[in-house]
Amino acid sequence: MALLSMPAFGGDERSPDSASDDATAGAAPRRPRLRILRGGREEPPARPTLTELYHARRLGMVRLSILLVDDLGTAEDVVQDAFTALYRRFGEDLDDVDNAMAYLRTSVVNLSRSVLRRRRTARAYVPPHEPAAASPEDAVVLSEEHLRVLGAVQRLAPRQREVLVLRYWSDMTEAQIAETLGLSRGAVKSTASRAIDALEKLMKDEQS
Amino acid sequence: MTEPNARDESVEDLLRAAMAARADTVTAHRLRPPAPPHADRSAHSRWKSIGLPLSAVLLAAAVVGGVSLVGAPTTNRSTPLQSRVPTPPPTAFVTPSPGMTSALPTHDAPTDVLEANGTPESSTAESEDTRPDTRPTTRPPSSKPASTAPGSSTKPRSDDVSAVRFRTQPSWRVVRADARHECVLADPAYTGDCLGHGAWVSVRPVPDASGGWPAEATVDKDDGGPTRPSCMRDGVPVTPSPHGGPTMRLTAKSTVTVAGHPAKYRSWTVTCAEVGSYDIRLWWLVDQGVYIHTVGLPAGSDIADRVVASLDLSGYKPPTS
Repeated sequence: MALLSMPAFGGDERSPDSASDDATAGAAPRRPRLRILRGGREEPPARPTLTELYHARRLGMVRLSILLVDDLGTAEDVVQDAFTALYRRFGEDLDDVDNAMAYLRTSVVNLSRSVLRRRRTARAYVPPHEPAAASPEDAVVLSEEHLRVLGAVQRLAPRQREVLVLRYWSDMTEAQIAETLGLSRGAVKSTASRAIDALEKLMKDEQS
Repeated sequence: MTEPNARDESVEDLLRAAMAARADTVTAHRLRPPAPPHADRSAHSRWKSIGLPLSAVLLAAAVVGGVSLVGAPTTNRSTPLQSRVPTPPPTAFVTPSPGMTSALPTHDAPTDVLEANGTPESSTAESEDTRPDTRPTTRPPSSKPASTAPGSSTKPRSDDVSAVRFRTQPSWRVVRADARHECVLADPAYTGDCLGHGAWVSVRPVPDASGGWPAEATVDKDDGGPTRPSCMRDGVPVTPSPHGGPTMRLTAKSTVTVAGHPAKYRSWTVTCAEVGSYDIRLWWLVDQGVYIHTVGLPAGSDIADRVVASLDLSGYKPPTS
């Protein structure tokens, strides 16, 4: 559909190491700084702002979240909350973009997990609903094979899903995943291995 | 994980490709207007939204109080209290907040327009409640009103999907997806995906050179629906079995009148051998660039019919390419 032919805006969470570069290239204009207040000395290098980070990284973070919660509106809420938490923690000026990005990424994963937890609780009271990967716009570009894989991923345990998303979509290292999820590297490795096994089994079960 | 064996390699590749495809379905224009957290803006917004009106009210109260003390020393105490109670301003002066879906009725008698119902099936209009629809659409929980968001406009655009209004006041909820798409959910309490639960209302440029759906070239074909056929159970997409793959068939084709404009009406039925079937329905006002469609609504749901019956395009003009 035409919806999907539009160019994407902003950075993508798939390359976390380039966060610093992208953040300084955001859409928001720099604020003027008064040199006279600094005694006429040369300005220090401008620090990236949260607003710039927001414009540069929001899309990538929504993409990360949607792979976890599988619903665009919820993913947007999660990311908005994560940026709000980031603002409360660091303010507008970011001294360390890498640190801010790590905080943001962890927030998105944790908030997405909270959403899934609430969703499971709600299912005890309301008819089940699986907001799957198929709005008409989505389904038109997702092949049946991809839908099958994504459906299987949604049936994994939340922690397994998080590890797979961070590993195979965000292309993060084991160390980065461990830091993001608050796990040991060994736990990340074993979780990923079990998740791949479980995924393979789920897909085979569906085929048979 | 760091040393994937051959067995896992295909799964891993497939996983990467599927995740990339899913993530790529989210594009910037599908997101809500950006609203980065910002203390200055929120303070300014709070001052504008609360401080200024409060100051005006206090000033007015002081003036009125002063005048009454100076100019009317002999108040008629026999005046009934009721007559001295200020009356609220007429609702016509109430401006919906930005970010809220404004669907002001343009007729006093909403049922008057039901004759324009272009649906091939009978539709049920909810005429018991004719209040304007000013319920808020979904919004990021910590976001500011749309007027404070960079890139957003405080004045509704006539070529925006929000300019497409509804003449009746039903018990539905409108969830705006972006400038050109919104979902009308039959159940206001429902917060999930529109698929299988609501009717999409969309606008597009006239003429539309993008080649998007719906298109004249395909809308009359069996596979002319908005989606690659997939299977659904209870409004939820499910993986089709290898042997019972879905088939799509055009089951209805007619020209109807919607909101005073000719519209193509199409319906497709998607059948999955082991899952069941569901319908895709489309009303396409070609010359207006407006289309309403549903995918997999439960049998008996009339939300699309009600939306079509109450469509009001009096304040809308098609966007240009």
